[in-house]
Amino acid sequence: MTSTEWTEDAVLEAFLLESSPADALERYLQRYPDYAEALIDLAHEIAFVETRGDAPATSDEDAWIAGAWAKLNAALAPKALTANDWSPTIIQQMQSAFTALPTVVFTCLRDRKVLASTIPQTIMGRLAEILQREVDALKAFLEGPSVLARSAAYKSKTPPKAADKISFEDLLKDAGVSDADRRRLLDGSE
Amino acid sequence: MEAQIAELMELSCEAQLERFRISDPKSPSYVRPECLVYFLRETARDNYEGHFRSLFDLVMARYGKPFRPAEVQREGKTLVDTALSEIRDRATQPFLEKIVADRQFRDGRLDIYEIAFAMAVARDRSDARRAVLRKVQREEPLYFESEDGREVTPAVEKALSDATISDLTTGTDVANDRKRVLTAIDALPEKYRKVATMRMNNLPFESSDPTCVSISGALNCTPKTARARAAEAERRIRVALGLAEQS
Repeated sequence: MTSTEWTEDAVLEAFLLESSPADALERYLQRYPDYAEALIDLAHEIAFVETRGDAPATSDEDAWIAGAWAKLNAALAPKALTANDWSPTIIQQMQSAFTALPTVVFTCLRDRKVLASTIPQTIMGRLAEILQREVDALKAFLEGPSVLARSAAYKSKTPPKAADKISFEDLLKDAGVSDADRRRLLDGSE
Repeated sequence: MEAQIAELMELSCEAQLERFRISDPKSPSYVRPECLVYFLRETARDNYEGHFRSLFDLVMARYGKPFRPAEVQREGKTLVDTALSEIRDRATQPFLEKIVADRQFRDGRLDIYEIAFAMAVARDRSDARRAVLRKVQREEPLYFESEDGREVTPAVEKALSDATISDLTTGTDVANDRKRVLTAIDALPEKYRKVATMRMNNLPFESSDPTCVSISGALNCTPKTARARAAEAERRIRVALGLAEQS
Protein backbone atom coordinates (compact mmCIF):
# COMPACT_ATOMS: atom_id res chain seq x y z
CA MET A 1 0.00 0.00 0.00
CA THR A 2 1.18 3.52 -0.64
CA SER A 3 0.22 6.72 1.12
CA THR A 4 -2.02 7.67 -1.79
CA GLU A 5 -4.19 4.61 -1.19
CA TRP A 6 -4.65 5.11 2.54
CA THR A 7 -5.91 8.19 4.33
CA GLU A 8 -3.87 9.62 7.17
CA ASP A 9 -6.56 8.52 9.58
CA ALA A 10 -6.45 4.92 8.36
CA VAL A 11 -2.65 4.81 8.53
CA LEU A 12 -2.58 6.19 12.08
CA GLU A 13 -5.29 3.72 13.12
CA ALA A 14 -3.28 0.82 11.69
CA PHE A 15 -0.10 2.09 13.36
CA LEU A 16 -1.94 2.27 16.66
CA LEU A 17 -2.90 -1.37 16.44
CA GLU A 18 0.62 -2.62 15.72
CA SER A 19 1.78 -4.94 18.47
CA SER A 20 4.91 -2.80 18.88
CA PRO A 21 4.44 0.64 17.30
CA ALA A 22 8.00 1.65 18.17
CA ASP A 23 9.38 -1.22 16.07
CA ALA A 24 6.92 -0.41 13.30
CA LEU A 25 7.76 3.31 13.08
CA GLU A 26 10.56 3.00 10.54
CA ARG A 27 8.45 0.73 8.33
CA TYR A 28 5.51 3.11 8.45
CA LEU A 29 7.69 6.14 7.70
CA GLN A 30 9.07 4.27 4.72
CA ARG A 31 5.65 3.29 3.41
CA TYR A 32 3.76 6.47 4.19
CA PRO A 33 6.22 9.37 3.90
CA ASP A 34 3.36 11.81 3.39
CA TYR A 35 2.19 11.16 6.94
CA ALA A 36 5.65 11.22 8.52
CA GLU A 37 4.96 14.11 10.89
CA ALA A 38 1.69 12.63 12.17
CA LEU A 39 3.36 9.23 12.63
CA ILE A 40 6.29 10.74 14.54
CA ASP A 41 3.89 12.68 16.78
CA LEU A 42 1.87 9.57 17.45
CA ALA A 43 4.99 7.49 18.13
CA HIS A 44 6.00 9.97 20.81
CA GLU A 45 2.50 10.06 22.32
CA ILE A 46 2.33 6.26 22.50
CA ALA A 47 5.71 6.05 24.24
CA PHE A 48 4.82 8.91 26.57
CA VAL A 49 1.32 7.71 27.49
CA GLU A 50 2.65 4.26 28.32
CA THR A 51 4.85 5.75 31.01
CA ARG A 52 2.00 7.69 32.63
CA GLY A 53 0.01 4.84 34.16
CA ASP A 54 1.07 5.81 37.67
CA ALA A 55 1.11 9.58 37.14
CA PRO A 56 -0.36 11.47 40.10
CA ALA A 57 -3.73 13.17 39.71
CA THR A 58 -3.57 16.82 38.70
CA SER A 59 -4.86 19.37 41.21
CA ASP A 60 -7.86 20.15 39.04
CA GLU A 61 -8.78 16.53 38.31
CA ASP A 62 -12.06 16.56 40.26
CA ALA A 63 -13.22 19.79 38.63
CA TRP A 64 -12.22 18.54 35.19
CA ILE A 65 -14.10 15.26 35.64
CA ALA A 66 -17.15 17.12 36.98
CA GLY A 67 -17.03 19.33 33.88
CA ALA A 68 -16.79 16.29 31.62
CA TRP A 69 -19.77 14.72 33.42
CA ALA A 70 -21.82 17.89 32.90
CA LYS A 71 -20.98 17.87 29.18
CA LEU A 72 -21.84 14.19 28.92
CA ASN A 73 -25.18 14.69 30.65
CA ALA A 74 -26.06 17.60 28.40
CA ALA A 75 -25.28 15.46 25.37
CA LEU A 76 -27.24 12.48 26.73
CA ALA A 77 -30.32 14.50 27.66
CA PRO A 78 -33.11 13.47 25.31
CA LYS A 79 -33.40 16.08 22.61
CA ALA A 80 -36.90 17.09 21.65
CA LEU A 81 -37.84 16.43 18.04
CA THR A 82 -39.23 19.30 15.98
CA ALA A 83 -40.78 19.53 12.52
CA ASN A 84 -37.54 21.13 11.32
CA ASP A 85 -35.74 17.86 11.98
CA TRP A 86 -37.75 16.27 9.15
CA SER A 87 -35.53 17.82 6.52
CA PRO A 88 -35.72 16.72 2.85
CA THR A 89 -32.50 14.75 3.38
CA ILE A 90 -33.97 12.91 6.35
CA ILE A 91 -37.17 12.15 4.42
CA GLN A 92 -35.03 10.86 1.58
CA GLN A 93 -33.21 8.58 4.03
CA MET A 94 -36.58 7.34 5.29
CA GLN A 95 -37.62 6.55 1.75
CA SER A 96 -34.44 4.58 1.21
CA ALA A 97 -35.12 2.65 4.40
CA PHE A 98 -38.79 1.99 3.55
CA THR A 99 -38.82 1.59 -0.21
CA ALA A 100 -42.47 0.52 -0.28
CA LEU A 101 -43.66 3.85 1.10
CA PRO A 102 -44.33 7.01 -0.88
CA THR A 103 -43.14 10.42 0.37
CA VAL A 104 -46.61 11.41 1.51
CA VAL A 105 -46.42 8.88 4.35
CA PHE A 106 -43.40 10.67 5.83
CA THR A 107 -44.84 14.15 5.33
CA CYS A 108 -47.99 13.01 7.13
CA LEU A 109 -45.86 11.73 9.97
CA ARG A 110 -44.01 15.04 10.00
CA ASP A 111 -47.36 16.85 10.17
CA ARG A 112 -48.42 14.57 13.04
CA LYS A 113 -51.50 13.32 11.27
CA VAL A 114 -51.02 9.77 12.52
CA LEU A 115 -51.81 8.21 15.88
CA ALA A 116 -48.42 7.32 17.36
CA SER A 117 -49.87 4.31 19.17
CA THR A 118 -50.82 2.68 15.84
CA ILE A 119 -47.30 2.71 14.41
CA PRO A 120 -45.45 -0.62 14.85
CA GLN A 121 -42.48 -0.45 17.25
CA THR A 122 -40.00 -1.63 14.63
CA ILE A 123 -40.99 1.24 12.34
CA MET A 124 -40.83 3.71 15.23
CA GLY A 125 -37.36 2.43 16.05
CA ARG A 126 -36.06 2.81 12.52
CA LEU A 127 -37.58 6.26 12.10
CA ALA A 128 -36.06 7.38 15.42
CA GLU A 129 -32.70 6.04 14.33
CA ILE A 130 -32.85 8.01 11.07
CA LEU A 131 -33.91 11.12 12.99
CA GLN A 132 -31.08 10.44 15.49
CA ARG A 133 -33.43 10.66 18.42
CA GLU A 134 -34.76 8.33 21.07
CA VAL A 135 -38.02 6.53 20.30
CA ASP A 136 -39.62 8.39 23.21
CA ALA A 137 -38.72 11.73 21.61
CA LEU A 138 -40.34 10.61 18.33
CA LYS A 139 -43.43 9.39 20.20
CA ALA A 140 -43.72 12.70 22.08
CA PHE A 141 -43.44 14.58 18.80
CA LEU A 142 -46.12 12.49 17.06
CA GLU A 143 -48.47 12.91 20.01
CA GLY A 144 -48.48 16.69 19.55
CA PRO A 145 -51.35 18.41 17.70
CA SER A 146 -51.44 17.77 13.99
CA VAL A 147 -50.43 20.58 11.67
CA LEU A 148 -53.23 22.57 10.07
CA ALA A 149 -53.50 22.60 6.31
CA ARG A 150 -52.15 25.94 5.14
CA SER A 151 -55.38 26.74 3.29
CA ALA A 152 -57.63 25.92 6.27
CA ALA A 153 -57.79 29.48 7.59
CA TYR A 154 -59.12 30.88 4.31
CA LYS A 155 -61.79 28.40 3.39
CA SER A 156 -63.98 28.24 6.44
CA LYS A 157 -66.14 30.65 8.41
CA THR A 158 -65.47 28.74 11.58
CA PRO A 159 -62.10 28.82 13.36
CA PRO A 160 -59.64 26.36 11.84
CA LYS A 161 -59.34 23.06 13.64
CA ALA A 162 -56.83 20.31 13.13
CA ALA A 163 -58.25 17.20 11.51
CA ASP A 164 -58.58 14.09 13.61
CA LYS A 165 -55.55 11.86 13.49
CA ILE A 166 -55.75 8.64 11.52
CA SER A 167 -54.27 5.26 12.18
CA PHE A 168 -51.02 4.23 10.52
CA GLU A 169 -52.89 1.51 8.65
CA ASP A 170 -55.36 4.04 7.21
CA LEU A 171 -52.49 6.27 6.21
CA LEU A 172 -50.93 3.40 4.27
CA LYS A 173 -54.26 2.66 2.57
CA ASP A 174 -54.78 6.34 1.67
CA ALA A 175 -51.24 6.51 0.32
CA GLY A 176 -51.95 3.58 -2.00
CA VAL A 177 -49.54 1.12 -0.38
CA SER A 178 -50.25 -2.39 -1.68
CA ASP A 179 -51.96 -4.93 0.57
CA ALA A 180 -48.86 -7.13 0.69
CA ASP A 181 -46.55 -4.25 1.64
CA ARG A 182 -49.06 -2.97 4.16
CA ARG A 183 -49.28 -6.36 5.85
CA ARG A 184 -45.51 -6.66 5.95
CA LEU A 185 -45.11 -3.21 7.45
CA LEU A 186 -47.84 -3.67 10.04
CA ASP A 187 -46.45 -7.07 11.03
CA GLY A 188 -43.19 -5.35 11.73
CA SER A 189 -41.31 -7.53 9.24
CA GLU A 190 -39.92 -4.50 7.40
CA MET B 1 -8.64 -9.18 29.74
CA GLU B 2 -11.46 -11.73 29.39
CA ALA B 3 -10.23 -13.54 32.49
CA GLN B 4 -10.20 -10.31 34.48
CA ILE B 5 -13.69 -9.42 33.30
CA ALA B 6 -14.96 -12.88 34.23
CA GLU B 7 -13.39 -12.55 37.67
CA LEU B 8 -14.89 -9.09 38.20
CA MET B 9 -18.32 -10.23 37.04
CA GLU B 10 -18.46 -12.48 40.09
CA LEU B 11 -18.20 -9.45 42.38
CA SER B 12 -20.93 -7.13 43.59
CA CYS B 13 -21.06 -3.58 42.18
CA GLU B 14 -19.47 -2.22 45.34
CA ALA B 15 -16.68 -4.78 45.32
CA GLN B 16 -16.05 -4.06 41.64
CA LEU B 17 -15.79 -0.34 42.32
CA GLU B 18 -13.35 -1.00 45.13
CA ARG B 19 -11.12 -2.85 42.67
CA PHE B 20 -11.56 -0.17 40.00
CA ARG B 21 -10.39 2.50 42.44
CA ILE B 22 -6.94 0.92 42.72
CA SER B 23 -4.90 3.23 40.54
CA ASP B 24 -1.45 1.73 41.01
CA PRO B 25 -0.66 -0.42 37.95
CA LYS B 26 1.83 -2.41 40.03
CA SER B 27 -0.87 -3.63 42.43
CA PRO B 28 -1.96 -7.23 41.75
CA SER B 29 -5.58 -6.08 42.19
CA TYR B 30 -5.22 -3.31 39.61
CA VAL B 31 -7.90 -3.39 36.93
CA ARG B 32 -6.82 -2.40 33.45
CA PRO B 33 -8.57 0.65 31.97
CA GLU B 34 -9.81 -1.51 29.08
CA CYS B 35 -11.87 -3.47 31.63
CA LEU B 36 -13.22 -0.25 33.10
CA VAL B 37 -14.39 0.81 29.64
CA TYR B 38 -16.02 -2.59 29.20
CA PHE B 39 -17.97 -2.20 32.44
CA LEU B 40 -18.80 1.43 31.62
CA ARG B 41 -20.37 0.27 28.36
CA GLU B 42 -22.24 -2.49 30.14
CA THR B 43 -23.99 0.08 32.38
CA ALA B 44 -25.99 1.17 29.34
CA ARG B 45 -27.76 -2.18 29.62
CA ASP B 46 -28.35 -2.33 33.35
CA ASN B 47 -29.75 1.21 33.38
CA TYR B 48 -28.24 1.96 36.78
CA GLU B 49 -27.20 5.60 36.63
CA GLY B 50 -25.33 5.62 39.94
CA HIS B 51 -22.99 2.88 38.76
CA PHE B 52 -22.50 4.63 35.44
CA ARG B 53 -21.47 7.84 37.21
CA SER B 54 -18.98 6.04 39.43
CA LEU B 55 -17.45 4.22 36.48
CA PHE B 56 -17.38 7.35 34.38
CA ASP B 57 -15.37 9.17 37.06
CA LEU B 58 -12.91 6.30 37.27
CA VAL B 59 -12.50 5.98 33.51
CA MET B 60 -11.95 9.73 33.21
CA ALA B 61 -9.34 9.64 35.98
CA ARG B 62 -7.43 7.03 33.94
CA TYR B 63 -7.99 8.99 30.75
CA GLY B 64 -6.58 12.14 32.35
CA LYS B 65 -3.30 10.60 33.49
CA PRO B 66 -1.22 11.33 30.38
CA PHE B 67 -2.21 14.98 30.42
CA ARG B 68 0.37 16.98 32.27
CA PRO B 69 -0.86 19.64 34.72
CA ALA B 70 -1.43 23.07 33.24
CA GLU B 71 -0.39 24.67 36.51
CA VAL B 72 3.18 24.65 37.75
CA GLN B 73 4.86 26.35 40.67
CA ARG B 74 7.87 28.52 39.87
CA GLU B 75 9.58 30.43 42.65
CA GLY B 76 6.42 30.62 44.73
CA LYS B 77 4.24 31.66 41.79
CA THR B 78 1.59 29.61 40.05
CA LEU B 79 2.00 29.64 36.31
CA VAL B 80 -0.72 28.33 34.03
CA ASP B 81 -0.04 26.99 30.56
CA THR B 82 -3.40 27.33 28.82
CA ALA B 83 -2.17 25.26 25.85
CA LEU B 84 -1.86 22.24 28.13
CA SER B 85 -5.41 22.56 29.46
CA GLU B 86 -6.67 23.16 25.94
CA ILE B 87 -4.97 19.99 24.73
CA ARG B 88 -6.73 18.01 27.47
CA ASP B 89 -10.10 19.61 26.72
CA ARG B 90 -9.75 19.05 23.00
CA ALA B 91 -8.77 15.44 23.46
CA THR B 92 -11.62 14.81 25.91
CA GLN B 93 -14.39 16.14 23.68
CA PRO B 94 -14.29 13.36 21.04
CA PHE B 95 -13.93 10.77 23.80
CA LEU B 96 -17.11 12.07 25.44
CA GLU B 97 -18.88 12.06 22.08
CA LYS B 98 -17.92 8.43 21.62
CA ILE B 99 -19.30 7.55 25.07
CA VAL B 100 -22.57 9.32 24.19
CA ALA B 101 -22.82 7.57 20.82
CA ASP B 102 -22.05 4.25 22.46
CA ARG B 103 -24.82 4.68 25.02
CA GLN B 104 -27.33 5.84 22.48
CA PHE B 105 -26.55 3.70 19.46
CA ARG B 106 -23.97 1.13 20.63
CA ASP B 107 -21.57 2.95 18.36
CA GLY B 108 -18.38 0.98 17.66
CA ARG B 109 -15.98 3.90 17.89
CA LEU B 110 -15.43 3.22 21.58
CA ASP B 111 -14.10 -0.29 20.82
CA ILE B 112 -10.50 0.87 20.53
CA TYR B 113 -10.53 2.07 24.17
CA GLU B 114 -11.67 -1.40 25.21
CA ILE B 115 -8.88 -3.00 23.18
CA ALA B 116 -5.93 -0.66 23.71
CA PHE B 117 -6.83 2.19 26.05
CA ALA B 118 -3.39 3.80 26.24
CA MET B 119 -3.03 3.74 22.45
CA ALA B 120 -6.42 5.32 21.97
CA VAL B 121 -5.64 8.07 24.48
CA ALA B 122 -2.28 8.60 22.76
CA ARG B 123 -4.11 9.14 19.49
CA ASP B 124 -6.56 11.60 21.08
CA ARG B 125 -3.70 13.46 22.72
CA SER B 126 -1.72 13.56 19.49
CA ASP B 127 -4.67 14.90 17.49
CA ALA B 128 -5.46 17.48 20.16
CA ARG B 129 -1.87 18.64 20.49
CA ARG B 130 -1.48 19.04 16.74
CA ALA B 131 -4.68 21.08 16.57
CA VAL B 132 -3.75 23.31 19.49
CA LEU B 133 -0.16 23.85 18.37
CA ARG B 134 -1.30 24.63 14.84
CA LYS B 135 -3.46 27.31 16.35
CA VAL B 136 -0.93 28.92 18.63
CA GLN B 137 2.14 28.21 16.46
CA ARG B 138 4.13 28.22 19.63
CA GLU B 139 7.85 27.97 19.88
CA GLU B 140 8.08 28.07 23.64
CA PRO B 141 8.24 24.76 25.45
CA LEU B 142 5.28 23.45 27.37
CA TYR B 143 6.04 23.56 31.08
CA PHE B 144 8.10 20.73 32.31
CA GLU B 145 7.59 19.56 35.84
CA SER B 146 9.66 16.90 37.50
CA GLU B 147 7.15 14.75 39.32
CA ASP B 148 9.27 12.86 41.75
CA GLY B 149 12.18 15.23 42.35
CA ARG B 150 14.57 12.31 41.82
CA GLU B 151 18.13 12.93 40.87
CA VAL B 152 19.00 11.88 37.36
CA THR B 153 20.89 8.62 37.34
CA PRO B 154 24.58 8.73 36.39
CA ALA B 155 23.76 6.63 33.33
CA VAL B 156 21.39 9.30 32.07
CA GLU B 157 23.89 12.02 32.86
CA LYS B 158 26.60 10.22 30.99
CA ALA B 159 24.36 9.54 28.04
CA LEU B 160 23.40 13.18 27.93
CA SER B 161 27.01 14.24 28.02
CA ASP B 162 27.53 11.94 25.06
CA ALA B 163 24.72 13.83 23.38
CA THR B 164 22.82 10.83 22.11
CA ILE B 165 19.15 10.85 22.95
CA SER B 166 18.72 7.25 21.89
CA ASP B 167 21.09 6.17 24.67
CA LEU B 168 19.31 8.03 27.44
CA THR B 169 17.41 5.06 28.71
CA THR B 170 20.20 2.57 29.01
CA GLY B 171 20.73 3.08 32.73
CA THR B 172 20.02 0.47 35.34
CA ASP B 173 16.66 2.04 36.22
CA VAL B 174 15.52 1.95 32.61
CA ALA B 175 11.80 2.45 33.20
CA ASN B 176 12.26 5.56 35.32
CA ASP B 177 14.95 7.02 33.10
CA ARG B 178 12.81 6.48 30.08
CA LYS B 179 9.85 8.10 31.78
CA ARG B 180 11.85 11.19 32.76
CA VAL B 181 13.37 11.60 29.34
CA LEU B 182 10.02 11.12 27.61
CA THR B 183 8.44 13.69 29.92
CA ALA B 184 11.22 16.12 29.01
CA ILE B 185 10.73 15.38 25.32
CA ASP B 186 7.00 15.87 25.71
CA ALA B 187 7.63 19.40 26.91
CA LEU B 188 9.81 20.33 23.93
CA PRO B 189 8.60 22.60 21.15
CA GLU B 190 7.29 20.65 18.19
CA LYS B 191 10.33 20.75 15.90
CA TYR B 192 12.67 19.55 18.65
CA ARG B 193 10.21 16.94 19.89
CA LYS B 194 9.98 15.36 16.46
CA VAL B 195 13.75 15.10 16.07
CA ALA B 196 14.14 13.79 19.62
CA THR B 197 11.45 11.16 19.00
CA MET B 198 13.22 9.98 15.87
CA ARG B 199 16.57 9.86 17.67
CA MET B 200 14.91 7.84 20.45
CA ASN B 201 13.94 5.41 17.71
CA ASN B 202 17.53 5.27 16.45
CA LEU B 203 16.80 6.79 13.07
CA PRO B 204 19.83 8.32 11.29
CA PHE B 205 20.12 12.01 10.45
CA GLU B 206 20.66 11.25 6.80
CA SER B 207 20.85 8.36 4.41
CA SER B 208 22.39 8.00 0.98
CA ASP B 209 19.86 5.29 0.21
CA PRO B 210 16.63 7.05 -0.78
CA THR B 211 14.56 4.04 0.28
CA CYS B 212 15.88 4.29 3.86
CA VAL B 213 14.18 6.52 6.40
CA SER B 214 16.20 9.40 7.80
CA ILE B 215 15.32 12.34 10.04
CA SER B 216 16.19 14.90 7.38
CA GLY B 217 14.15 12.99 4.81
CA ALA B 218 11.09 12.51 7.01
CA LEU B 219 11.09 16.10 8.21
CA ASN B 220 12.01 17.53 4.84
CA CYS B 221 15.02 19.46 6.10
CA THR B 222 18.76 19.30 5.54
CA PRO B 223 20.88 16.89 7.60
CA LYS B 224 22.60 19.96 9.06
CA THR B 225 19.27 21.33 10.30
CA ALA B 226 18.29 17.92 11.67
CA ARG B 227 21.58 17.72 13.61
CA ALA B 228 21.20 21.27 14.92
CA ARG B 229 17.68 20.53 16.12
CA ALA B 230 18.81 17.33 17.81
CA ALA B 231 21.61 19.22 19.58
CA GLU B 232 19.16 21.86 20.77
CA ALA B 233 16.67 19.19 21.85
CA GLU B 234 19.39 17.50 23.88
CA ARG B 235 20.41 20.79 25.47
CA ARG B 236 16.81 21.49 26.47
CA ILE B 237 16.37 17.98 27.85
CA ARG B 238 19.49 18.46 29.96
CA VAL B 239 18.07 21.71 31.30
CA ALA B 240 14.72 20.07 32.00
CA LEU B 241 16.40 17.23 33.89
CA GLY B 242 18.44 19.71 35.91
CA LEU B 243 21.73 18.66 34.34
CA ALA B 244 22.49 22.03 32.76
CA GLU B 245 21.77 25.65 33.42
CA GLN B 246 19.22 27.54 31.37
CA SER B 247 21.23 29.66 28.95
